[in-house]
Amino acid sequence: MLSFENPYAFLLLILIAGCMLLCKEKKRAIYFPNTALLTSLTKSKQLLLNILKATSLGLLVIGLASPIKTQQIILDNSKGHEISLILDASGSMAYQDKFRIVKSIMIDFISQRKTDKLALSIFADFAYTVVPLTYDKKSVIKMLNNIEIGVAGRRKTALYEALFLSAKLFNNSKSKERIAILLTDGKDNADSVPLDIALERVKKNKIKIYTVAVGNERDYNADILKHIANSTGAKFFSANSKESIQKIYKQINQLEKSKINIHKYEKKTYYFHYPLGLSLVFLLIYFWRKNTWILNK
Amino acid sequence: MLAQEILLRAKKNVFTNKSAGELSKIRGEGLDFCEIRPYEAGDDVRKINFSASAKTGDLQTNVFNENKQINVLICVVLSSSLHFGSQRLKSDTIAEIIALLGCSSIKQQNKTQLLFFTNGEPKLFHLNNTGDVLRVIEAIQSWDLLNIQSDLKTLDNYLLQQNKSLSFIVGDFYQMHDYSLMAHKHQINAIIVRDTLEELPLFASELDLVSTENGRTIEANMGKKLARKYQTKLLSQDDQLLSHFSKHGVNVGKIYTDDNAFIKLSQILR
Repeated sequence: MLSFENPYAFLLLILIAGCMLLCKEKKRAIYFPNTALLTSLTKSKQLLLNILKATSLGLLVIGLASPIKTQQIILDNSKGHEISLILDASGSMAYQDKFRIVKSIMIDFISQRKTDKLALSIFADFAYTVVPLTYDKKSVIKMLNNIEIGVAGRRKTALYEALFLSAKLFNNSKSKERIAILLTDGKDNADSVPLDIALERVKKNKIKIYTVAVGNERDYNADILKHIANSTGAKFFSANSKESIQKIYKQINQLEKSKINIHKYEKKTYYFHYPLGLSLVFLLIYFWRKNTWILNK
Repeated sequence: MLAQEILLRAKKNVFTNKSAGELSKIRGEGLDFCEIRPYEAGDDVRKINFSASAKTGDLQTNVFNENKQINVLICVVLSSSLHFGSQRLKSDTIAEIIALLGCSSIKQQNKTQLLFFTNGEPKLFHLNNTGDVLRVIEAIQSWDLLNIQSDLKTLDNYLLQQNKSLSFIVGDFYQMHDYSLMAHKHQINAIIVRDTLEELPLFASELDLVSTENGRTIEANMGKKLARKYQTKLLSQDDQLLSHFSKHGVNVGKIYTDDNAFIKLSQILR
């Protein structure tokens, strides 16, 4: 968006207007008769000269206020976080509208992580990556909105497979802060990938896995989830209400805060030369129209 | 220029110039025979030329020129615009013209009056000798011209109340006015006093122009183009004035401040 770097420069317009009215050019003066006729001849010319003078000074002030276009550019990606969101989309998540609540909380979380790379994976009968690591938050939110229960089956919970798959996403990562947030309401019952192998891959890629268990305690295995979190240097959370889930995501957000200013800078495009150039053109026309006595000799 | 100097120059020019006794062009009750013309109702019966009437069969009457001693009225229309001049002020040139006309009239023993017309009451001077002329020159030179406006209506009213006379109206004639009534009654000579620089205002440097009328500064960058435009406009206004004068039989002439006033005046009044 076009804005002004020094908007206070516009105060000079008041000074210029005051000067144009009060500070008259001092020249040697002589008495001259029959000025009524002379005034009638010079009126239109004087008006044009005043308009030229005012426009030229106005453009100079705009130039001084320095119109700029600011664009945020992320220079060093390696210093930002990379977060993989792993969501349980099994049939049990439909119970008590958990899936919809979790989705809306995750969308809030995504929009708060402005400078991080995000990925989205879901799991049920099998696990799959919906969006790989990307800065394109809009796409992640859009895809998350479109996911419904049953897209990956309804009966099973391939939790370890999702862990393994998510760990693979970080294979080529350059970031030092690699995080996965695993949200589930059940136990792994797919047996597609053993927990040890999945954890080994996670540790190899130095990923912190925050585990969030929702729903009834009997439905999920808190010990395993704690073990996953603790062995990767993260935390385990459990919740059974919307507010508590929100709190957990807030907590994770606080724990993994990005140093935003380090990773980005503002690209400023300056446009002051356009008003300055125009002002110069108007000044030249002004001097030409002014018809100074030197030019007339 | 000092008042004495102006008067001396005028006296030198007028009194050393041996011109023939100039006759008045006005016809009236004089002794100088002018012509014989057919009698018209209202003519004086004492002037019927019977021998000419007998010869032609119709009544003929003698026409005479006006008496040699005539009324001379010098009317100076003062205005703030007279406070201008490149070589010398227009008011100084007017003073010289007054001196020349006054001395010349005194020499011819005419009854001479001089009036200054401003926005107030006209100021009257009787010119019987050169001392009176000197007083008048001093009066115009000491006048604060910047604070006055010309009033041609007063001139109109005054002249209409006066006896028939040879009148000189001196001024810079920037104001348009109807001179037909006064021209009908008097023999009018209009003397326009101007400066060459005010007609073509080409200055050597950039100057502010202060109006003599209201003291306001005019933002006019006088270039060659504007000066020519101004001159054309001014001259077209003057042309209108001259055609008005010529329509009503007014003798008119222009004297510039750098002209020799005596020679120019002689040419105008020839």
